[in-house]
Amino acid sequence: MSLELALFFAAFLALLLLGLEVAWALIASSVLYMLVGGHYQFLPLVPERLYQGMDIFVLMAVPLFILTGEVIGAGNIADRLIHLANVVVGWLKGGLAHVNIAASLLFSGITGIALGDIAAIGRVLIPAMVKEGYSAAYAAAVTASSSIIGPLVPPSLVIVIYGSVTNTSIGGLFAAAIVPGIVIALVQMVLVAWQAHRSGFEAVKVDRSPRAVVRASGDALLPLAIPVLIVVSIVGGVMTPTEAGGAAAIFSLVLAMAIYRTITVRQLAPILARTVRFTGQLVIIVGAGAIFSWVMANENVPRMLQGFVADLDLPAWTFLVVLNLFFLVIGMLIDPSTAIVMFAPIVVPMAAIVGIDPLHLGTIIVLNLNIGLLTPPLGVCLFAAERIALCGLGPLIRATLPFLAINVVGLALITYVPALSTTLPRLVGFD
Amino acid sequence: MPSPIDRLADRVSAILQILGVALLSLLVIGVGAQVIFRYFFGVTPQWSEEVGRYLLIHTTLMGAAVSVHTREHIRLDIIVKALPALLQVLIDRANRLIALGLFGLLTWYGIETVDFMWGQRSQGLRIPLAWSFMGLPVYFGLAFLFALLGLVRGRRA
Repeated sequence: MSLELALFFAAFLALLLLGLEVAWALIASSVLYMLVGGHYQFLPLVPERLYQGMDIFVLMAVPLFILTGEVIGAGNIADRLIHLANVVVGWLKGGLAHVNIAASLLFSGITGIALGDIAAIGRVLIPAMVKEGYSAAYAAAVTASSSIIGPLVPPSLVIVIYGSVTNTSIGGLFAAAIVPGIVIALVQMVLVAWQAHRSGFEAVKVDRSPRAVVRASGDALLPLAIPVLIVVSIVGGVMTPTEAGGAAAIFSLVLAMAIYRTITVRQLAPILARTVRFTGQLVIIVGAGAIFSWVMANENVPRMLQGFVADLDLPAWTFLVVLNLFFLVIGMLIDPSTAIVMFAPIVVPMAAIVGIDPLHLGTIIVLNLNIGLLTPPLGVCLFAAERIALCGLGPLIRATLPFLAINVVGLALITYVPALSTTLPRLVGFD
Repeated sequence: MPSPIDRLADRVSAILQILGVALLSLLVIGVGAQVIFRYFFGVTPQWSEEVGRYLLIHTTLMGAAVSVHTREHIRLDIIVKALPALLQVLIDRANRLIALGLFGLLTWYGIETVDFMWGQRSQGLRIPLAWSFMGLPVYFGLAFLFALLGLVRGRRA
């Protein structure tokens, strides 16, 4: 490793930890590399690389999925999903904790942003759980842990970004991540069931008559049409991710503005404005990542690592252990989109040498990085849940530990049973 | 009481946001129209993909510039928040200075890039690429001014 390359990594890490905006930290460390290494001739190309990094057709799906999530969040549509989840799993011991997880699974089919899930579901279920006698910290821990299902189950912004920077089929990745998303929900529910048994959590008194079940399903039918629309059309190859994003955005607007009338025309402007700002914050990182990747390529980092992996001749399972550890640690420090932009293009060819299915790989990387949302220092999901529950970060972290452990168990399952990720894509014709 | 210059910056940021909303709306309507055209009439206009990419890039750059003004860009602040107040202020100033320098660089070389792109034409519409690349110096120029104001004014909500 050359001195400038070492400086480049050190500068990025230092700037990141000292709170410089992620996008600017990526560009600043690259510019520093060019200055220190005497590569002045590349400086004028920095804006062009930034532009070209964002000039990717499938990235158009990003603002569309963000808009859908914002509309569904502002339109209080999660309430209908929570009600349905309540009828379906609320009667179990530890009812509301199960409802929290099941509602996250349903909601994850509509938006692919963990924070959106916490805002929509935590806002309703954390107070409800506290009222039923759960500790605020436990309520927040369940909310935060189950929110990481959101970026796994399609539609998922992180997966769109992964597909666009690694040139992997987004339809295929979406198909691959569905079953793992359900697996994570199930292992979390197993943990809740065990905790409920041990601590004597109550079930919820719900009306489970056929009529109530039919009514709850009917109320949630239209919102649930969104995930069906997105998944069937993308996985079935009827629409591109961008088109499905457009259809979902328009459908959610019609739902919230014309059918449920929970959003007025006046409320629409701030929703659109938030979407524009969030798109800017997210997609600029993809562009900045292109400059960062250019430095890595200029230093031959991808080829060196590929040669290294080929020489080691690791069996796939050892490679996967290293991969998981690496991305778990990275996920604690760097937000998922940035981490993908920085590392996924390098890891994909390495994993190909070892013979790992690219769709399986994408699922593992995305899951790892999302688990990092539950740990400090990044831990954005913890902080967001704490802001609603006001339970203090210390108790929340302690209450989250069992969920972290069970998520890692889920991760291990998904890592070492590739069929969980590869069967569905193969069935629908992605290879 | 905000000074005239702060009010001006707020207004510029608001206008930029309105423009971004307009482009986003075009993007949503355009993608919707594309779906309808493809499935009901079996045609996809050749330029639609290209226009979509330009809309995305400009929406992004506008949103990014506004987010410089509103200080909403994604960052890791938990470590800095644990430091002594004086150190926090110093680090904040240093970060703002670095961002300011980057925006200056991106604006300066962005202008050069635009100059070069007059000679390049887009694949579909055959328009000079400079028109789209012009977003770089314009929005990063504005980001530079927002960052400069932020640096002079210190911490803002």
